Amino acid sequence: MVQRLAMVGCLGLLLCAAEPSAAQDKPSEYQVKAAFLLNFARFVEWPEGTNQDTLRIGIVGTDPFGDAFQTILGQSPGGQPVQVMHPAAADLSAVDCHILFVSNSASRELDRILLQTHHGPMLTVGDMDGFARAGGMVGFILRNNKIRFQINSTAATRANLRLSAKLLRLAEIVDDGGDDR
Amino acid sequence: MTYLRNMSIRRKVLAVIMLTSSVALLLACGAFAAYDWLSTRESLVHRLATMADVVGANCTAALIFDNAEDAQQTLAALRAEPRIVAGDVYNRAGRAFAHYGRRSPSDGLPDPILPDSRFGEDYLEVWRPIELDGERLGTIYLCSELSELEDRMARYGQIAVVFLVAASLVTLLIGWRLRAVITEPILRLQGAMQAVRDDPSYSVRAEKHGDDELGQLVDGFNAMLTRIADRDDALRTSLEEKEVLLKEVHHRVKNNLQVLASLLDLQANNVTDAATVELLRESRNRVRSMALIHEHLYGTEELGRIDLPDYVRDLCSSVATSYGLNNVRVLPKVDDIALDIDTAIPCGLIINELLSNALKYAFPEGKGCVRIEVCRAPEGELGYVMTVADDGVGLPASVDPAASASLGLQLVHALARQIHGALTCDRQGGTTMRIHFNPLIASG
Repeated sequence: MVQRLAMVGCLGLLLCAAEPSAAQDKPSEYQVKAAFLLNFARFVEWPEGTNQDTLRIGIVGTDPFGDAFQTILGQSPGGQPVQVMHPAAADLSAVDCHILFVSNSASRELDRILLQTHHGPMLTVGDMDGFARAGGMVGFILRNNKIRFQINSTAATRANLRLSAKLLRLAEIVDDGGDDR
Repeated sequence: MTYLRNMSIRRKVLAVIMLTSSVALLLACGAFAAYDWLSTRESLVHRLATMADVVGANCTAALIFDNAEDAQQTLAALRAEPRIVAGDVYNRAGRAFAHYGRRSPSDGLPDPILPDSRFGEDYLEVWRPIELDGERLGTIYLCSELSELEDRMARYGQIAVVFLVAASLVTLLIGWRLRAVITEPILRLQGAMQAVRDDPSYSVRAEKHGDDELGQLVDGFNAMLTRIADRDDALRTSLEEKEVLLKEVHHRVKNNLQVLASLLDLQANNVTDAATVELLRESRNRVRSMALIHEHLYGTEELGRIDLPDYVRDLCSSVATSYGLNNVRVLPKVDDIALDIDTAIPCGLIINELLSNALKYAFPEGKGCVRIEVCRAPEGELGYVMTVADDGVGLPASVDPAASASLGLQLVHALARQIHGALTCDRQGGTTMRIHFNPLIASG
């Protein structure tokens, strides 16, 4: 059963936001990353039975997006609802979201944070170097001044998430060196 | 057109068969080629559009995550299809995102993109939307050479030529055999017609080979021949009967005239008056000259025409005999002329009169020569010239032949008028009487 997130209108405009245009300045790094974050959902299949009425995004650590999500959401009235949460880094065992973004500020607690994400099918996305190699699933990196990402597909498989081949093709595939569970 | 009209019927039939079948074959080949051309174009568009859809679907993530290199790599896979010469991916804003190939559309992305495919002179262009979950992410453009269509049409042309040649050969073979069905009876009829032309007996009949129109033609032809032959026989019989009858009539007329001449002779023998004897002899000679005509008529092959040389010779000897002048030579000289009876009788009577006059008056010493000539008029004139010339004493100066009271000369004038001639008289060295006459005027 293929599950898709019906966020068409919303995401369409997201990309518009990420797109440079004459009327707007070049989007900021976090505006682009916010758009990427929402778009990852289109190439990920969560296990059956996951409630996907609302796309829930958790941000661990200091929220670097500023009003990026607000801008996007503000521009997409009537789109797929997106809920942004800010769970405490100290206790993530009860958090229930589809995508968990770990900001750069939480890099020192990374191992602990990752250990606490095994209870549910969450796509972990990190903003720091070596996030995927450390056991995260998708890590933002910079290549030639462009935002790219690394993917640890083993970690995603462990979390029962299926990543689309199209997404994998765009990513640098890394490994965390075996089962560290 | 004249060439076609004068073509033999065998060739005409064959030409009609070949022309008809060739036109039909050409039309069929043309229809097939047109259908194939259209359907091949359609399938080319369909295939290129499908390929654009597949490649476009592989570019969705690249477009979403703004990864042009990946899109470029995806497009590079088009290398496997050498006919595709160019491929481009445009983003949502219509800006070039990734490019592949030797050529790029010179006018960029058309806006709006309608229709979504276009045939150029030697290439096909296709634009397809790149969509994900119904959301328009961008556009993919592919350009393909049409060499496949051209190759296919060329192959079609070759097949059509081979097919046409082969079909024409088969048609020629069949037509060659079958045309005999039409041409043979016609040729046989033509042969029969030629035989009839060469053989006037009308005994030839055409052979019949069926009950079609040609069969009816043969029947009609044969029936016509039978009727012509019957009529020919009847005419020939009738003509023979008429000829026999005519000969009989001439024979009787001649006999009657002969009897009349004999009666005049008998009468003359019983008269002592020299003048009366002379009158009776002249009359007898006139009757005899006419009897001679009829004698010659039934003696000749061609009834109705007198062979002049024979007649004049017999006439002269008959007249000369009746005057018994042994020392006067009568020399007839007549061209080979044949005259009808209406001209011959006046001619005979004129010669009779003029010769009689000469024999009676020109030679008091009973010695001399009379020349009788009938010849064709000199070049450029119509008719004949009749001359009776003697080397005798000549006409007395007191006698004017144009106004003579003698019956003989009056007769000559009247008869000359009858055959459209005029008498002239030359008195040098004897007497020469000449009549230029033209019997054709009488009939005209």
